[in-house]
Formats: sequence, C-alpha cells, structure tokens
Amino acid sequence: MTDAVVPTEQVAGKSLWRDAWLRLRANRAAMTSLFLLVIIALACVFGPMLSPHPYDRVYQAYVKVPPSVSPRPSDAEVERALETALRRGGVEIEGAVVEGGVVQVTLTSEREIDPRVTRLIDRSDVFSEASVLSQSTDGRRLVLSAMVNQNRFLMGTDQNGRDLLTRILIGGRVSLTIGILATLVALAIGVTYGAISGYMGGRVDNMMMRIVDVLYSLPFMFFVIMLVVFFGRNFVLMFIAVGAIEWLDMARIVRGQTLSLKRREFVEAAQAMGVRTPAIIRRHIVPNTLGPVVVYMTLMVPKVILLESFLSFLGLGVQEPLTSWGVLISEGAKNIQGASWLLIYPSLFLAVTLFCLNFIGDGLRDALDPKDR
Amino acid sequence: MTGPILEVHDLHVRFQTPDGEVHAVRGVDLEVAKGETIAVVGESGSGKSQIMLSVMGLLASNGRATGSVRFDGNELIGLSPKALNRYRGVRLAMIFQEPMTSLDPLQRIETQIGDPLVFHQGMSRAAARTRVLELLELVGIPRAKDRLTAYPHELSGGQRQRVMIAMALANRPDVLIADEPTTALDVTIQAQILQLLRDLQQRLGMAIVFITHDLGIVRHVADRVYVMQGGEVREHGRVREIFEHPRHAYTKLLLSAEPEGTKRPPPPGAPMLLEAKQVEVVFELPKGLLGRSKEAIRAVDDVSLSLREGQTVGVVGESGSGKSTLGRAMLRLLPAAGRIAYLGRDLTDLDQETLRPLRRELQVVFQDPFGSLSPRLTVGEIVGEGLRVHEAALGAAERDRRVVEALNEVQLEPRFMRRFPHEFSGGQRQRIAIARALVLRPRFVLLDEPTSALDRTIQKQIVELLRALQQQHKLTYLFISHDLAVVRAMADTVMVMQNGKVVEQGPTQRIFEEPQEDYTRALLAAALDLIPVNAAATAS
Repeated sequence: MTDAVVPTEQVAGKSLWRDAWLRLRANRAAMTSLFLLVIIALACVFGPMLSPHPYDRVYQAYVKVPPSVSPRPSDAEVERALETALRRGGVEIEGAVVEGGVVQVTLTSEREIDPRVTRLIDRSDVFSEASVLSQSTDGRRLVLSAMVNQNRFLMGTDQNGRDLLTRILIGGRVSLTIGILATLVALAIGVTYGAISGYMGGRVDNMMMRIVDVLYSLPFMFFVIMLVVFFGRNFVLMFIAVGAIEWLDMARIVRGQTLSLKRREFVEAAQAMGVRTPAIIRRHIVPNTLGPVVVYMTLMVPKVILLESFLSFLGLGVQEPLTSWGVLISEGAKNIQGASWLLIYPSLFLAVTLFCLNFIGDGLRDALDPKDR
Repeated sequence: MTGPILEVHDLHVRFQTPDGEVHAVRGVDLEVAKGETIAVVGESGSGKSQIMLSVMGLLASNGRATGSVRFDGNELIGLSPKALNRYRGVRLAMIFQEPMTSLDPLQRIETQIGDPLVFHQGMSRAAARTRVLELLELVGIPRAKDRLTAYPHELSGGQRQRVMIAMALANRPDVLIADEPTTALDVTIQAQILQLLRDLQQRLGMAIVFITHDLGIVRHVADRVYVMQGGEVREHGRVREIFEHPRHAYTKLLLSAEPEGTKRPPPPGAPMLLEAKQVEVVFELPKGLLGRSKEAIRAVDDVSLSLREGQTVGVVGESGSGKSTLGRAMLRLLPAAGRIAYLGRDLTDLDQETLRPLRRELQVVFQDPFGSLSPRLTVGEIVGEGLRVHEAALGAAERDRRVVEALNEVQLEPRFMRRFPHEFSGGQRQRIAIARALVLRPRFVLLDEPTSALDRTIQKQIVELLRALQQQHKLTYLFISHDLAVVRAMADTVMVMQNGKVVEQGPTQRIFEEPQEDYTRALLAAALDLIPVNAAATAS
C-alpha cells in the first residue's frame, strides 16, 4: 500500500452555501432588505430599553396626540394642561410664563387659595415639583412655579396616552419572536417528518401523509380556540398553535424534495455502501432539501406574523398591556378617523418587515437555484 | 460554390459570473456555404455550443457576444430579439440535444409543429395541418396521420427527435443548426437520425451545422470540420484531410482517444465470486383504482451470469434493455427473484441488516458523475463515508489517511479533499466516485456506465485507470455500458441484452468478430459504423 500522508496544506472548498451567499450579496434588493430587517430587529430588541417611555406608561395628559418631532408640551399646551389640571381647583389662571422648562403661573380666585393646589398640578403628567413662590396677603392671588416635563412622542400616543413608538417596538418583539419561533418549530417538525415520510415511502409514507391530511382538515381557528379554552391565553401557546399548523406545509415540501432526492445516484451509492437509513436521511437527504426549505422559511415568517396578527385581531392573541403588531393595527383600525397614525405606523413596520422577508426569500431562491450555474 | 450563407468572424463570447469574467469563445472564424454540412467538434467546455447560441441570439442572460455574425449578408450581432426573429426559426433553425425536454409535454404534436406556421406564415389551420402531415412524413414518422394528435410522451426518443427536426424544417430554413442531435439516443436510432438528416439535406438543399463531441458522426456526415478547444478553433479543413493528416496536436489526441487495448484474462481456476441464476426483476405498474395490478414489466427476464475473481463481464444493450436493473439486482438494491450467490453464500434471503457487512466488498460506481456525489458534502466526507459505516472504530486521523490513500490511487490530489464536488470536472468527479468505492477495498465493483457522461479523452483515462486498479487489487467488475468501444477495451466476456433478455453471450473477441444474432450484428453495425476512427488510424 502506498504510504499516504494527509497533506497539511489543504485547499478549502467553496461550499454551495458560500456560493449562494456570494450571489445573495450581489442582489441589491435582498441585501437592502436584510439590512432593513436587521435594523428593525435590533430596534425591537434594544429600542424599548432606550426609550424614555415604558411601553405601559399612561400619559393622561397626552391621549391620542399626533406624531411630532418637537417636544411636548408646547406653550399653548402648557396653558391647556394647566387648565385641565386646575379644573377642579376653582381658580383662574391669570398668566403663565414658560421659561427654560419652568412655568410660572399666577392664579387668582374669589376665595382664598389653598397652597395645596400644587398637588393638583403635580398630579398631571406634564408638571412636577410645583411649589408656591408667593401668595398675596389676602390669599386670593398665588404665584407658583413648576417644572415642565418635556416629552417627545415621535409617533404620537394611543387612545390611552401611551407612547406609540415604544409600543410598536414592543409589539415587534412579540411579532418577530412568534414569527421566528413558530417557524423554527415548524421547521424542526416538518423537515424531520417530511424527510422520513418521503424516504421510507410505501405504506409508511402513506400513513404519515394521511395523518398530515387529517390535521390539514381541522379548522385552524377551531383548533386555536380549543387550545385557548383548555390552557388559557398565553404567549407560548401562540407559537405552539401556529407552529403546529405550519409544519404541515413544511412536511409536504420536504417530502416532495425527498422523493426526488432519493432517486438520485448519491443516495443509491450510500445505500450500496450500506449506510444506515437514519444516516442517509441526516447526511444526504436533509442537507439537500435545505435550499427550498430556507426559501420557504423566509416566506413562512411573514405568514406566521400575519397569522398572529389575525389571532390578536380576534382577541385570541397576546394580552394588554403587552401588544403585538396585529393588536396595534386592529386598534389603529378602530381609530382611523380621528387618529390615523395609530394605524399608519404599526402597519408601516409590519409592511416593511414583510416586504423585506419576501425580498430576502426571493433573493435566496435565486441564489440557491443552481440553474444558471 | 456560392458565397457563404453564414459567416462568423472574430466572435468572442464572455460570461459575467460571480467569480469574474469567463471568456468562453475567443475569436472564432467560421463559415458555412449554401448546402454544405460542417461540423464543430470539441469536448465539453470548448465553447462549441456557445458559438451557435450566439448566432441564434440565445446566450444565457449573463453572456455577451462581440464580433460579427453575418447571415446572408446581414449582421446578426447586436440585433434586437424582434429583428432577430426575422431570421431565427425561419431561415435559421436549431435542434437540441435532449428530445425528452425540448418538446412541450402538454401540447399535441400537431399544435407544436403547426403553431409556428400559423403565426409566422399566416397559414390557415387546415393548410397548416396538411403541411404538418407532410413534414411528419418527410422526417419518416410512421402512421403520421395518427400521430398528429399524440402527446410527446407517447413517442419514443427517436421519434421525438424526428418531431424536433420536423419543427425546425417547418419554415424551410437555409441553415439548420444541430446541437448534439443524437447524443441522447441509442446507437441504432442515432444511425437512423443521421441518415435522415443526410437525406433531408440532399432533398432540401439546406446547410447543416453539426455541433458534436463525437468524431464518428463527423466522419459520417460532414464535409468540413472545425476542431475546437478552449474557445478557439485549433484546426479546420475538409473531413478527409483532418482525419488522415491531422496537424494540430489536439486533433491528434482526439483522434486517438478511442479506448485502446484489451483486458488480460483472469488466471485460470480463479474462484467463483458472484453467481446469478435465473434472475428476474418485475416492476408492477401502479395499481388501478380497484387495487388490482394491471400490468407488470419484466425488466430482467431469466438472466444468469457468473463472475470469477479478476474477471470483467460487460453487459451491453440499448436503453430499456434492463442492463442497469440487472446490475442493481445483483447487489440486492432491488428486489429480485432467482438465486444470487456471493462466494457461495446466497444473498437473496438476507435482509438488509445481515447484508450490510457484505456491502463493503460489493461496491458501485454510477454513470452520472454529477448526480452520484452528494453536493453538500466535501470530497473527504464523501470518500470517507463508507469507512464510517464499515470501520467505525477508525479515528478521524486514520480515516483521513485512508481517504488520502484512495485519492492517490485514483490520481487525484489529496489537497482538494476539503473541496466540494461541484468544483471538479466530470472526469475528476468520476475519479472521486471510484475512490469512494475503493476506500473500502472491495472485491467486486459494479460499474454502471461509468464513462458514458465523459468526453472521449477523459473516457480513455478512466478506462485505463479502471484496468490498472483491477490488476492491482484483483477486482472483479460487472461493466454495464451502451458504448461498445469501451466494453471491448474492458471486458473478458460480453453479454448482449434486449428487452430484459440475454440475446447473446460470449468472449469479447468472438462477440465483436463473429456475432451470431441479428440484434448483436445490428448493434455492432450501428455503433462501429460511427466509430471507424481506430480502424482508419491503424489503416493509414
């Protein structure tokens, strides 16, 4: 026998995956989408931590304020806010001067003014640290100052006075998590099931696919409602429900791929070599189905996000104060006349995400397609 | 002779790929006179097809042709597809290699041929039908009238190629470009199609451009030949001159690429290795609605054969003769009736689990070097897979050493073991497949058309490699092929199969020199008529 020495210097190969990645990189639409998607995902993960507004904080003074870049309150709003705050104080506002984040107000009244009127002011979201500067001797005139809390609501607030941007980002966390987790669940079950069914063929295949058919024929909503009834509403249940339905498609796709793969000569070669069935499925079948599977996956994530939106729309999804894009959109739809931004911004996020995922899916399909190789 | 009808001057074809520019055709000059037949010969990757695709304006989207292509005095390069349609399909027609896929499976023959007539020439349906019928008769389709309403899958491969030719002829072209028109066909059919093209040319007086890798065809049909290599024309001239006095080294190499020599017979008294008696493989067609099996196909019918150690049995036959099925049945990759014994041990009753240890001694090399290697595994993993199964105790380092050893034996550089199959050429891939079989040190190797998908020069190398390995390791081969030249160079005995039955069986020399049966004679005549190269080379 020849004296074989494993060469130390080896030429690394370019795998099909690397090849596909190079093609994908040349696809501008897909790369832009990927970039946007990463930005949206990062914003959803870190945005709520950086946001000055907790997602469940209610600003009673700012119910349904429209989006704006300038901080609130504006001078006019300060007066209005003062009026609202002091409505029950029985006082007249004579003049208010805003300067450097501090408002100085002069109050008059028929009767003596109780200095505890500052509490009324403090109670408002707009002001804090109200203190009496001076009071006239008859007590019917009072000058007080208070800090004005400046808040920015870039995308406005919702009907409860919560910051919409923060809620969209929180909702994005929920939607993307469900989208990705449910897809992974579907992927794991679907690929395994489909590959086994397709590879074994014959009676096993027949039985396994009939089970899939039976599950297909169950009405999805009914299934979800059953789950919710038995286990109550919770987050984990959502993606179990969605994943449990979505794997059926995945299994069919993988089975179809497997059927054509198992006739290929490399599978036959493995059989002739005596490789065991699980190893053939693991090493030869599954890696070769992953191309279409990855493409299908990117198309499945938006599908799942939409499904979750639909469930939330029906009230079967996440619960207040937690939210998701679907919930936000459904609330926005109710307020479309008075506060259109409640619909526009969440829809924009969802639409951009779905577009990006679809473009990436398209790009991947082109990149993995060996046709023009 | 009048001036050239098609004139290609300084043609370059470049492809933009992610790995940079590929310069596929590098400054080719070529001309075709009216009524003349030329052949463009070259191995895969020589750019021969790209020339004609750029003439037809059919380059892939990342390709660009520069230079000049003049058809009847009109420049074709740079024309818009619309302007190009005045010529292509009308005066310039093309037929392709794969008759199975170039017809639309959902359209009837009449519509496929007739639609261009209706749209291009504004014929009425009735007139088009008469013309279609005329064309089908012209290309020699029997019972043409009944075939009008047939779908492509109801026709055989040869008939489909005839339909393709009829389509190309529909508009009476001046130039017919035939891109490997017979490569996918059996030899007997191949001879008929070539005969047909020759007849048609004489009757219709068109020029034909043959693109082929097969020198036998060139000699048979062409007036002049262009030999291509690496995107350039190496040599051109009249067929006779080129064949008798090749000047360029590459032409000489091509001409001598016929597999040579014969195998030395095994020593007498070698032990019986594999023996099959009355093997039968029956495929049942899918059951009908009522669960009753309607029809069964006897793919292998009562075949017996025996292999002694060191012997090679060649199995020859056209497609559908059951030769590959027989091979698979011998290795129990398919359920079969009859008795198959390995070293006296009956394999037919063993289940897959008890068969597994035997698998290491019974190996296979398949035809398609592109399909038989798993595309997502590295070469090292592919070759080493058998070791994982049969010598699970080996450590990773030891396994790598064995892989390297096997790669060395098939003359592949072990440096490339981390590469993936798609980065290799067809011949190299076939070497990888052989290494995969060899790494287990088998005693028997089933070679299922191992050279059919390869160029002639590569074929010769693989044949020599297989013979050397056989000598070295005392291997026994069952060699399945439709290529008689290769079988002649490889086998001790030959078995000719047709429709699942053995037609004739005997020592290689006798079969080739004194065939007894008509079918064998027809097969030999069709095949050897097309590969006279060796005979010519030795005669001169």
